[in-house]
Amino acid sequence: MTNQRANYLYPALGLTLIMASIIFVVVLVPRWTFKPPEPRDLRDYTAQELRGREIYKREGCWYCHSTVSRPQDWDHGRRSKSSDYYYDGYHLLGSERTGPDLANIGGKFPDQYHMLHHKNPRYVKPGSIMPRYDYLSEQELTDLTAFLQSLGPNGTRALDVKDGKAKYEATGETKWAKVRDYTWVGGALNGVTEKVAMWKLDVAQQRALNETLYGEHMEVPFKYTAEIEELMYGSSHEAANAKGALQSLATPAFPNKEALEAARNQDPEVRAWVENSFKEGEITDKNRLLANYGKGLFNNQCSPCHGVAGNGKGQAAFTMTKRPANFDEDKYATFTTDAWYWRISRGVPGTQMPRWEYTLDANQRLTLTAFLKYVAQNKGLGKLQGSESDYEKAPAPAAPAK
Amino acid sequence: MAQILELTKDWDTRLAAWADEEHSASRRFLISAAVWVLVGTLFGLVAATEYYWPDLVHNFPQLQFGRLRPTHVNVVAFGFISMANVGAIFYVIPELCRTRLFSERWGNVLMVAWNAVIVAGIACLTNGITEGREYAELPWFLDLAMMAALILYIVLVWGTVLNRKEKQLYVSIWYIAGTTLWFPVVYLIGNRVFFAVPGIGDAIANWFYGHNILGLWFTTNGIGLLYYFLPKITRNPLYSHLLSIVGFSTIAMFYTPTGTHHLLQSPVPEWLKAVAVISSVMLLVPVMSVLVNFFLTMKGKWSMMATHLPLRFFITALGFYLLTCFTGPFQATRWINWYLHFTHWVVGHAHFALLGTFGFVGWGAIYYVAPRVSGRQWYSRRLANAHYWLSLVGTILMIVALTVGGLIQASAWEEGIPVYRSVIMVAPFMLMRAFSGLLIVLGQVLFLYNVVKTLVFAEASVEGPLEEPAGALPQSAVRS
Repeated sequence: MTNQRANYLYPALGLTLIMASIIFVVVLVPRWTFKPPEPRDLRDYTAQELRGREIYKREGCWYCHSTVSRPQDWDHGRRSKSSDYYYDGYHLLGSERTGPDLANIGGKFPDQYHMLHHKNPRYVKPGSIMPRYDYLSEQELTDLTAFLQSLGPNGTRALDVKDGKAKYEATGETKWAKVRDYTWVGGALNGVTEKVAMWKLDVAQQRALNETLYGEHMEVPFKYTAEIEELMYGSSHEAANAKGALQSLATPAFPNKEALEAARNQDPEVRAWVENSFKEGEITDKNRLLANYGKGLFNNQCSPCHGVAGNGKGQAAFTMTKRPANFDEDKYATFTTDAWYWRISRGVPGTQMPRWEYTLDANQRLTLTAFLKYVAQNKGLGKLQGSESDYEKAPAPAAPAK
Repeated sequence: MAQILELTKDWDTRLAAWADEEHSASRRFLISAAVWVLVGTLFGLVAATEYYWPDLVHNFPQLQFGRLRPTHVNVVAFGFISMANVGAIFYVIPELCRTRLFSERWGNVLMVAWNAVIVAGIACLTNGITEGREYAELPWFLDLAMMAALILYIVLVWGTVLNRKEKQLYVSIWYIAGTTLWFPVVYLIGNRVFFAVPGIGDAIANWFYGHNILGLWFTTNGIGLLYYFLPKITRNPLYSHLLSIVGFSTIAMFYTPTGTHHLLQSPVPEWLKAVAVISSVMLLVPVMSVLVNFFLTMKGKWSMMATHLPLRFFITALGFYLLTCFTGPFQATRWINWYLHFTHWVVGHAHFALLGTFGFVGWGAIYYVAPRVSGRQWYSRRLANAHYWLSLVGTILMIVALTVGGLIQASAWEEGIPVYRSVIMVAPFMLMRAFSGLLIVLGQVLFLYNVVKTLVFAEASVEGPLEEPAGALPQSAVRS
């Protein structure tokens, strides 16, 4: 009997040892070696936000909403990094997305939107299948909203990377004075009738745009738009319930003039060049450098699909069901600066064209806008044709006065 | 009053008789499993219906989706599958060791404690008392109770194995006793009973547990049981003992580090993801060895499926196991995961494994073991048949709905269509899924009725045994 058992002892011991070492490697080693740094661009949660986080956990929000934005995600903001979770006592990453990702939800909507949305999601998003949380008290809804508004680089917890931490510790100020400062379509509206009319206008506007400028490159979910319209106008009780300060669907105006103006004013030189670049003769030694920069950006980011000369014949183009835009077409010559900027920033839904606002900053997008306007006006690279070395021959721009 | 006193007379001896009866723990575990599968699938059905009619339940937080989902998962996983497994194990291990269960009385204590944890778990989870970690939602005091129950379970299994009269340890014992070596550690890490991991490290620990509860609890117990049932039912010798040992040791090695494949696009260490992906693909080794072994053991006896109902459940489970385990490793590779992660496909995959494979193993085990631990034939063969078909059609419909819905979601996101539009696109499939849930729940109603008639009220069988040898088929059907 003893001998028989000894036969099993060593394999069992060996197997247990192997298991223990694997558990050691995949559970304990990451605990010692993987320590995300304290983030410079984020403050700790407040007591209210933590209460909101508890509610988020308790109500099981995380079964349908993830809080991790991945590189391949559209419309979910910048990619999450490990230090974003530094202050989390327990994780709420989620494993399934019935609803959208919430890693960067902070600052995307006003507080009132969130409050209404929690009470009945169908007030503000027709067709949503999120449960109603009107059984939560007003205080609980406020806490939950505070937690949601604290998430992401536009949230209340965001700090300036450069000196935000010091400033926060000294004054208690974070990056955004107000995260709910948001421009709604058509400005303030009161009363349900006007609101519905505004929605109607918005959908019609969207359709008109789709049919003219981008129709060829865009798959418009018309069926769904019709369904939305029906929800909006057909079931009036839904709309009638949506009283309060909410003005519209969560789509900013097309294009967002304020944001565009703000971006354009960042660099007057870029602005001047953007406005004038479509006249071929006005490429000067000075703005040639900017042109070169725009061309470099285009080569890096856009040419795989749109081709080096912007004719829509990039290497990757053949893989796409919606072919990339060919900027030699006449209609692109009529595009305004705003339209270019908007399209680069927001991408083209229904195609592979990404939202560059998550990758490129405003100046880069404006420079790209200028380059593209130039290409569209000249039906090709024109004077910008040639290798990098051609530009090196140009005299260097004068150093800015100190 | 006198009657009440009469009832309480000799309560201790009567309680002892109740608890010491041979096979009583096993039988009561099986009855509990049959109750919990109906309760658990009902929770699931309401949750699935809310996917289509979000206003189905209003102002009743206990039945709101975010609270129903963990309740559904915990009840079917820890109530149904685990208790069906333990009930079958309490029959199979003594059979293989040619002895009795180590302590029938403590087996009954375990049964009562386990049921109490599930009841308390339902109460906590529907009222929002949760730890917020997938598969580990039970609050800490229930974690401790579950740990105590697991330790008692280990004592019972090892006590039986060490008391054995049979010298040879059959492979089923390897699987089942091996599971007891590692599962308490996995459970402890996963539920963070005595420690906390802040930040995203919590996700790593969570998914280590979340995947290993499948791989190192349901899989090893279920496969261990199949290693007993298939040769026993078919009377074929096991095709290869060597293969079974290869499968056992590789399952222990390759399942353990796979958890991080749930976090492939999250900011966790790349080396951990690489280890997870590689070991996930390597899982094909134990899966192949197990399936080859089972399929070759079945050689010449496939026709028994037609007349032998438990065997039909087991073979169906093997079919689902084949499909689950061949999609799983590919899903875990970076580029396929990139496309499919966060979609309903993954939910479909979970139902593939837990409902399709181990749910069917659990039902089959109940159908096989119950007559042997109660000495009674099943009340109705027709009800059992209906249960099989309703469960099978429901499971297939559910997997199809979730898989297609997941592919629609994935392609919609890839195209840049926002989530609130893809929700509308998958709505028909959510309706289909709710319908499939209805079929499954109907099946469980019939099943529970059958179980109660047979095991509780001990009614005589009306249609004969569920298990008939292959010769019972009409001669023409066998010959052709």
